[in-house]
Amino acid sequence: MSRIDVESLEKRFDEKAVVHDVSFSVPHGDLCVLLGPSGCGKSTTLRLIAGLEDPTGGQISIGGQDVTHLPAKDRRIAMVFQSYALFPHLSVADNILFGLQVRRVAKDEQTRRLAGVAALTGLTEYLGRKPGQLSGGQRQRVALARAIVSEQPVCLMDEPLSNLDAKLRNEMRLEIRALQQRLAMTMIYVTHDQIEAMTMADRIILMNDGGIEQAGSPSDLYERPASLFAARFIGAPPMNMFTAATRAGLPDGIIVGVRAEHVAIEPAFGRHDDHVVASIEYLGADAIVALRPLADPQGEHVFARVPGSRRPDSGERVTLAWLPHDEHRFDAATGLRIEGGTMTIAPKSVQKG
Amino acid sequence: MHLSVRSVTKRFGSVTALDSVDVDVRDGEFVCLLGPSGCGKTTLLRIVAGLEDASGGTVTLDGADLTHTPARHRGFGIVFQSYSLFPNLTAGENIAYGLRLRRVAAAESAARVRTLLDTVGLPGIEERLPHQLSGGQQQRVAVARALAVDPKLLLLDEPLSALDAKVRVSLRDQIRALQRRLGLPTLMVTHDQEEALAISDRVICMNHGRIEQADTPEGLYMRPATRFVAEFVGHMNFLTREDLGRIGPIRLAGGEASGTTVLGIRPEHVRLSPDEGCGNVLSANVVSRQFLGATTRLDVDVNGSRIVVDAPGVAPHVEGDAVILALPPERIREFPA
Amino acid sequence: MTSRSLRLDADRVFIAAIGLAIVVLLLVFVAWPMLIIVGKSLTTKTGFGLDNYWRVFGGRKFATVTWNSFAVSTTVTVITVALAFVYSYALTRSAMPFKGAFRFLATLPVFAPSLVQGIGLIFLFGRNGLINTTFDLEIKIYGFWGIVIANVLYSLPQAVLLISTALAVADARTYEAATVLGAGPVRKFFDITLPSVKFGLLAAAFLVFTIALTDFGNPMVIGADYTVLANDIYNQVSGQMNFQLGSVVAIVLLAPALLAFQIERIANKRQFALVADRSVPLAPKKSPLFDACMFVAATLIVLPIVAVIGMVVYASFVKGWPYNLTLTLDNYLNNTAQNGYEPLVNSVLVSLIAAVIGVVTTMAAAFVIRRDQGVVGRMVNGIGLLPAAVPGMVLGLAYIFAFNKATGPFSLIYDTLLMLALCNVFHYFSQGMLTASTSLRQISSSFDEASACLGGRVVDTLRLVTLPLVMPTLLAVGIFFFMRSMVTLSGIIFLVSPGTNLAAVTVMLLDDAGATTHAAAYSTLIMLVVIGSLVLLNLVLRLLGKDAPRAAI
Repeated sequence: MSRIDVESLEKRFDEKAVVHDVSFSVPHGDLCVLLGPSGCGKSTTLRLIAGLEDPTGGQISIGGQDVTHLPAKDRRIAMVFQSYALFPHLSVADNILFGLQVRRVAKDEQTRRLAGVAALTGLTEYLGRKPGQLSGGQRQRVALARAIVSEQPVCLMDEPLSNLDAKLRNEMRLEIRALQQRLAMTMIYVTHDQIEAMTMADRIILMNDGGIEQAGSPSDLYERPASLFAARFIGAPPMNMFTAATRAGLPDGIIVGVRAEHVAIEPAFGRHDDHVVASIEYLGADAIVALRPLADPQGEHVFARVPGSRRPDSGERVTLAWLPHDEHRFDAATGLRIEGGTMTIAPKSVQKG
Repeated sequence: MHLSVRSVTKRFGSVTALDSVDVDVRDGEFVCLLGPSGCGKTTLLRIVAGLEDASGGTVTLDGADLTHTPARHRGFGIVFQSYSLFPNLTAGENIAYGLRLRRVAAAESAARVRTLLDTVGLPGIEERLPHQLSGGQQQRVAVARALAVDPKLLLLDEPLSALDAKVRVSLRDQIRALQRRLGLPTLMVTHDQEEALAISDRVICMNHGRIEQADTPEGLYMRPATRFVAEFVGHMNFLTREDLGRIGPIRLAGGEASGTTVLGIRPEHVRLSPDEGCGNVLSANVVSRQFLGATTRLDVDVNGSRIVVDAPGVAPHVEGDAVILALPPERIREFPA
Repeated sequence: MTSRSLRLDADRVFIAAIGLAIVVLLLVFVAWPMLIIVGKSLTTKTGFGLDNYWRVFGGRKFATVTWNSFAVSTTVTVITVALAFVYSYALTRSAMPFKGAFRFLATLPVFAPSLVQGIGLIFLFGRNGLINTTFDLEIKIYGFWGIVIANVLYSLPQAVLLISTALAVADARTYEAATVLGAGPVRKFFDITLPSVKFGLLAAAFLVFTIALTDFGNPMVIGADYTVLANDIYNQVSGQMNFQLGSVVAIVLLAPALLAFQIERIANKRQFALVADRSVPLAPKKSPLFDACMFVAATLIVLPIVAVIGMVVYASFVKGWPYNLTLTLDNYLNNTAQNGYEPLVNSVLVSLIAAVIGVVTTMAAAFVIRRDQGVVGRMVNGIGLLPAAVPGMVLGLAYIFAFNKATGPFSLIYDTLLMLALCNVFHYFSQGMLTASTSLRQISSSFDEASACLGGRVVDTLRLVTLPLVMPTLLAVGIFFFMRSMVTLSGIIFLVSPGTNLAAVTVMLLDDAGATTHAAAYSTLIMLVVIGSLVLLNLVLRLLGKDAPRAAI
């Protein structure tokens, strides 16, 4: 079996720790996404697992074997790079077979596997071409085929889709996920795109500043963010945050977060009109409404997600409402989530109604 | 202010990049040219800017013919995908460049640069060189540089596509807010349909050098004129005659589908667990499930035809579940087969 | 790197071993001879001291010679950079016709020994030159202006190469942004073009200055009584056998060359920092008037180059210059004054050996720099750049002191063609290494990593990925060493012996002996060999279906 265990991993470049105290495990056959903003250490972590960088401390094991000091070629991994790294002078077929050739796999075995992988990735017609003659999406498939043909139990992916345009990216992430499940590969997938992480992962490891911010299933991270950082990084638009300063009735030292889709806006009646529609971003299926506090024109916008066909007009005065159980509460000093507690600070209009 | 493009055609050798295209940008309007790469949108923008000559047709501004006016006399502002700041000049000097050409006094120019940097949210970075700025910052300086000369029209050539997702969305909002505040007529090129919908007053959807549809974002999304638009903007389930054979007859708002057209319905308009009395109720199996945060996307199978359904929040269904769904007749659109 | 490398696998040992081998070679063939020449300059009859320096500096002639050298070099620099800029601008920013031909013609001087310019100029403007005899004039070309013109023609190709590279990398969008903001062509030239090539211009200026300062062939041929430092070394050593004084002058020459080299390197680095990765390349648009002006300017600049070389070729077919202009093959058939064609054969052999050793060593050095970011890689990079700062004459002189011994460990290479080849390899080592390094750097590091992840060892990667990708560069570096070894004079002038004479030296000796038409024939043959080898290589590559490499000049 090919589970991956990372224990207290650390990497320093000139005294600066770019990865510190990172520990996690990926069970066999799981797809684990390393997610985070650029510079958070996710790519370095992946490269440490691949053996392309030496760790300053900690341990990495693959399938129960300690590989911390093993060179990349001996780790039994496949890797897909952001730039694809296809060899420009070799044909698609030779690119795919490269790993089998250097590992001296028998010729008929090579032929058999090539045919299988080419069919799987839809590259059968393109085997004779050079990478320069392929489109971006096709190159991406070659990189994928080259990784899976090796039949290594572990596949590492470093932002493999970031060079594709939006439509193609959506298609490819479904394909990669389907392949990973079909071939029961253990996969670690690095991305900065939270949508990609949410849609593909069994488990997400959210990184920030070289450390792990939160690890869990996509719905864990979305529904129960462990910190302010996690709450704001995951979800678009970012979670609305309220403090005592911006909303009456909140205790000091607490920050309350509400997702845009949980903010209901109702036409204002008399004294309850506390917000004004500042702008509307139409996205088709739904729209994001930016609301400005009526009392404070410079105040931070509150975002609400409404169905695209039922959106208010710009300048309209509205009242905000949400259900108490949609609130997330954080300690302002530590930024950490506060669990439990029944005290609600939902707007008065809801409490009264 | 009214920019009017009439019957503009552009040929490169035997290839027709633009085929008799009409576009209008009215006062204060934000118009997007949307389409896949190679559809001619960038060429059109460059013809408006004067950086490319049209093979035929006219470009007029408030009735004055601009077709043969060189780019530098058009008085427009432009921002490119590649930032294109002058690498040897500081941010402040970059912004002041157009003012210097217009011989604006140094003190006045410095004050203007300060105001513009405030406007784009980068106060105090006058002295920095472009390579010391992040991509998003460089692009905001490029916007400030374009605005410095009080342009009659702002042209944006994929200004956001070199930036990463988070920065892209935040800069998109800033550009839009700024444009509304200044009331500056703007023409933007993009291949990102979400960007086009979010930012524009009107979207001109192009394909193969022709205009497929010019409409408001809502018009484009709710009433796509062609199958290309329906597919390019948002997601659309298409049901062909073969699909209807598998899933049974489908009722439309105006009667039963004839089978000579292709039917389309958006994923968020498909109802899960419908009430009594809904039309077109189907039973299906969940094939795959993608959690998207605010919604969950289900890929379901109806007798061998696939339909994508977006359910709000965290849908309880998992792969293999049997579900009942309905296709509300008033939400179904017809396209020529 | 602060993190200790924990792995010591076979791959790393392999790279480190190659790196150390290169370092040892560079220490033996560059650092050691240079140390000796410094020692020599400090050796006096009574022991060690600065006496030699005082004697040289105190001499009345020294001040004049130094002044001459700087006057010539500065003048050459100003003229060459100005002309090269115009020429490069025409090549990169206009849509003038025949650009390919212009590119080729401007490289002609590189195919011949530097003194060919001087010889050609004399055929044209000398006492018995075509112009003076035909129009009955008395133009005096010998001396200051002769050296200047010859060196301008000789250094122009290298300046054009640097400046046109700088001009070629331009972001079209920047120009368009300026246009839309209202800038006209003149503004754009001063606001965008000039700032973007200022480091390229600076680098070119220092390169030209160094070439002019250290060139030895042209002053020999056309300088007459006007002596410069490079000649002075030659006179001290070859004429008066005064090795100590020769080394002092060599060290004086080394100082400005080192300085110029440093500034050129910094300028080069800054130049490339200005290129953004998302820029859209600028393609010149047709503009009849501007293109015509540029065409005329480029023609006027390239005309003297072609004329001078053309004169040499013409003269090589003439019976007796200038009185008997009957055409004949006699200069080729009876060219026996200096051992006939043995030196030419020697030159080809030396150049082939130098090409092979040069390719292997510089590619190995570049490979180590690329793959080892630790001490070994940095050492190879640091020491490998040293030779670029050492003028050929100085290196050659140092080789006499270090290796010209009939006994000891170097007796095996003493007075052999191998020795001459080694001198050329290490004289041009830095340029070869930089070319190889640049080419390796353009090969994305993710290829190495992808190969490693697929299970490839370093040797697999080298064989299957790196070598096929750098093949064109390999050939370009080979041609570079071959061409340079065919035409160089300054490095090997002190090392040749009657048994190991080379073609470029023979040209000089023939010219010195007054056999000018024979010298012309010999020069023509050198050019033929160089151009012929280029053509041959291109044919072979075309047969193999590969792109021809751009020759590194």
